[in-house]
Amino acid sequence: MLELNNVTKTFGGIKAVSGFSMKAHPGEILGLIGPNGAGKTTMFNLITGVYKPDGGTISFDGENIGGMAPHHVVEKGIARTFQNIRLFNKLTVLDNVKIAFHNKLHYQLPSAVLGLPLVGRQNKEIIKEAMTYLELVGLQDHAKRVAGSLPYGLSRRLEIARALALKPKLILLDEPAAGMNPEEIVDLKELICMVHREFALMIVLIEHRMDLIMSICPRIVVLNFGTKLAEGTPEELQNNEEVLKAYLGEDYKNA
Amino acid sequence: MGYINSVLTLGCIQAVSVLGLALFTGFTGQFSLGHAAFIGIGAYVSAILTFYYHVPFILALILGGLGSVVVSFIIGVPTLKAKLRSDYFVIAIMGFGEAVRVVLENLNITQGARGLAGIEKYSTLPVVILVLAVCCWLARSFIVSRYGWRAIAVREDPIAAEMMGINLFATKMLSLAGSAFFCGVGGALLAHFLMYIQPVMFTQVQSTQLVAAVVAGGIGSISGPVIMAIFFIALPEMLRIANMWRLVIYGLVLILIMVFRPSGLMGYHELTELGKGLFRRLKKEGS
Repeated sequence: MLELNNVTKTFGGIKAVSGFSMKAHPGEILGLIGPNGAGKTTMFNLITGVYKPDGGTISFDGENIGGMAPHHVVEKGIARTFQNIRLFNKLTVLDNVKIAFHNKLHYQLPSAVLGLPLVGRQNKEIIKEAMTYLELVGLQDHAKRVAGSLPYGLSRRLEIARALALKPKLILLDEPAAGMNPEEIVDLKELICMVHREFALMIVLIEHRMDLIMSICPRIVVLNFGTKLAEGTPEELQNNEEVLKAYLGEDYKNA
Repeated sequence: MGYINSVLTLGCIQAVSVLGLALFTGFTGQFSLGHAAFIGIGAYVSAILTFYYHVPFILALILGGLGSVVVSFIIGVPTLKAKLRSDYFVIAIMGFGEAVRVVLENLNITQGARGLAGIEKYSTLPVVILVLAVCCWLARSFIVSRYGWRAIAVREDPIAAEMMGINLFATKMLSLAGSAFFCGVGGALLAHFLMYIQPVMFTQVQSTQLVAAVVAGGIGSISGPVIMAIFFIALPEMLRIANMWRLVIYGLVLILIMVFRPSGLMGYHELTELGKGLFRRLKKEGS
């Protein structure tokens, strides 16, 4: 379970997040929405250790992870994707996923440097495993391609495959549908649901595409100016005055 | 013959050091203008060991490399741990390189600025080629292991690498230590080739030459920088007929490489791949 309690983060004099609390339960797809600049990505950066919270606690499976270094947070079972896709562009699609297994290999530095046969054997096994993740997202035919040459939709898929290869318990998706056409969004939706089913994952999803988020998230948290504005099912939020005001302005009824 | 032999030996020695920087710059994406210091440390540690203590050459060679590794932690831990931005890191290691040289100039055991003379000559061409081959093998093995994957991930995108569970500091530090080792071994070879070393040999000029060979040879490649290291040592010698123009031509060659091959001679590729590709083509034509 992911639990944020009274989390605060300021940049200079600006309160990016103030007194924010939320809970995400195992196996849940939680939506996180809010106008631009509401602090959604900051929240992801706080959870993953990119930023240290100035106040409050962030706990994952009962352990306080607030302010932990990102690579330790990953070890606890949290993976993420980025709003502006971050792939290892010069590497092949397969190598991108392969890197996720770097901590799962058993050989140590001396055998690696000497190039002992066991290194090659273990690497080969990892490649097989990495391929299964590519097959999962339908990228198996692009394995040898350079990641930077992938079209947008496939890059997103690769980023998700790479995050899944870390075998996380929780995956944070930061606007996965940004810049996608309606067809690609349908595919993405299927992918997210499939991943959720297959791995019994906890997913927190930031998204601006309301159609997507309303259709796959049973529960949604709305953020505005760094605080929680509302929380509830899609139906509840669609009729929530505060939410409508935040999105459409004070005069929304006349609009 | 003796002349060509010497130029080739020097070229291969330089290649060992360049291999080190290729690891740090070419595969981990960190720039440095202070790696001459590691060459200097390796040269002095090994020379002192063979000169004063009559340690066997092979042992002195390894200890020279390890000496540089120890020193690399002195600069690496505070700067890399503080997540110094890459340009500030370059300045820091540049200053560090100069500091190391000044220390070498003021110690008794190094005989100060006068230099250390009368070092035994062990670095013959076959020895140097053998050491270069071994170093290439070690570097290659490192690159294709999980440690190399981490380094490459850090070069490609440090933020994404961190979210793959990669410890940025540990990865950069390991690359720096590895590169210091190769530079140290290069320095040890150099000392036992020239038979005379003085601190002024290990200045910024030397550091810059390492960077030039790595960049011109190609980021993300081992064979490219090695070829370029040998070429850049040989080039001024080949151009001796052109006398005063030779340094101009040297500069021109560097510019031409950057214009026509912006990612270097072998950027992201290896000579072995070329061989494989050729073999495949020949096979295709044959069938």
